[in-house]
Amino acid sequence: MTLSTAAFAAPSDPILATAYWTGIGALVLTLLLGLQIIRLRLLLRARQRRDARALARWRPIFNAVIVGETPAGLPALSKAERPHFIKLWVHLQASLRGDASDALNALARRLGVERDARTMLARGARTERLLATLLLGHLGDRDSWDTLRTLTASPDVTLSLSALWALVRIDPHAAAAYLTPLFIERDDWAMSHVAGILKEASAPVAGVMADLLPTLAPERLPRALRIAEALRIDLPPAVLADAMASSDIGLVTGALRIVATPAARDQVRGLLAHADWQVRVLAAKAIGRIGDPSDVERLAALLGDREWWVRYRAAQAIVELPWLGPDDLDALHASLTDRFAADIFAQVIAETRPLERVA
Amino acid sequence: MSAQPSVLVVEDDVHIAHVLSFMLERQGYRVTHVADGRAAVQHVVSQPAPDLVLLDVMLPYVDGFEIVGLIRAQAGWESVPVLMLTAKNTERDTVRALDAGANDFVIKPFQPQELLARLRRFLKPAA
Repeated sequence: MTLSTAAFAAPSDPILATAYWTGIGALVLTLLLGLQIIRLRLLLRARQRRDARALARWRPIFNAVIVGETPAGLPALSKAERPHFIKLWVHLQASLRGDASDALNALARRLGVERDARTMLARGARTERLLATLLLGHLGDRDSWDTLRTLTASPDVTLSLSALWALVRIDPHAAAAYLTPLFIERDDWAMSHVAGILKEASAPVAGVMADLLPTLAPERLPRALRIAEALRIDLPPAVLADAMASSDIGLVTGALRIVATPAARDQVRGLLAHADWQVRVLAAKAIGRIGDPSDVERLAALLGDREWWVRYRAAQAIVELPWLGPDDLDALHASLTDRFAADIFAQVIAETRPLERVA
Repeated sequence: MSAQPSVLVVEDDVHIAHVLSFMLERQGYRVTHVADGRAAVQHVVSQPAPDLVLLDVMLPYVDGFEIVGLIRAQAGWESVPVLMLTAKNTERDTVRALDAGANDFVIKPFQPQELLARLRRFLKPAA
């Protein structure tokens, strides 16, 4: 045995042999990991090059159609370019509206992208299905209605919410009838998502909601009122009056959040003295929206409430009353004898005055 | 001043920035694009004023409200028309933009033709 081969031979001692082979194993694993990192980097670069090529090819066409031009001939959209095309198309659709949005739809139809998207929706991987959902929603593709409706029951929340959004885009009236009861039922879906999806169908949702509210179980009513609030839906006055007369605090506060007509003024005034402080907070805010000059005195009385939030909201409501100018507010502040009332009123005036000066 | 009116576009979304630049250059305007709030601040303090600033509200590092305030305080830039791009359903942002000194605003998602029409109110047609 030469000196060099002896240096690489496995030792005969079992402990040394174990250490030797462990070292060899670790070295091999490190080399494999290094090779994998290099492979991933090469794949990433190749993908970035494909992205850049697709963007360079399609961006001028997108720009042209967005400004109202109709390219005479279009290049073929290869399968490899399709995801990049759809990603950019969806991104631009989310940022544009009107003629530009219609022009993007026309471009997608000329290229037959909606047919590819229907296939992606039915059989694609998750990312492809998400992209297809967004594309078909923007296109208002009625042929995808049934598939999208099936997807709304997917355990994948992102996919199901995207499918719900697409249904609203395709047919707001049909979607409102289907989605409104679903959204009231599914209180695990965040209100921001619900409002974001339904906002483009707020008129049909208002109609569905008005029919639905009298039939809803009491425990579902607060959620329904929150949806109405988020979508700024005007509910029938009788529905709101019943809710404000309820013994359920959730219902009363839900109705106070959306009440917006002077017809409800007397009922709201009655709630300014409610035993629950959350009701008093929202009643003060509501009076700020629908009150008349006689309500200044009622709101001023709440400036001395035992709850800080009631005092704060009452002060905000007074300061935002359109018929009170800075001099009126200063006079009211000077007339306050309760220290807590004067403090909270001074704070709210200070919070609003910088904006007035800028304006 | 050059024959071509100049527009400074402050927009962090690269795809929208491409669309805006294409639209404006096609109308004959000279476009300078900066992609974030910090670069915009650097541009405002170191470069001559353009004929108009098209300014997004939501920007990395420094938001559009601060930048419009800086523009109004910067010598030579005080009277540059500023058109702000604000997000839909954020009326408060719109009020803040006007309060901060913006001349007008366009709500995103936007209509390119509407944006150009609003821009033309402040700029003479390009040669």
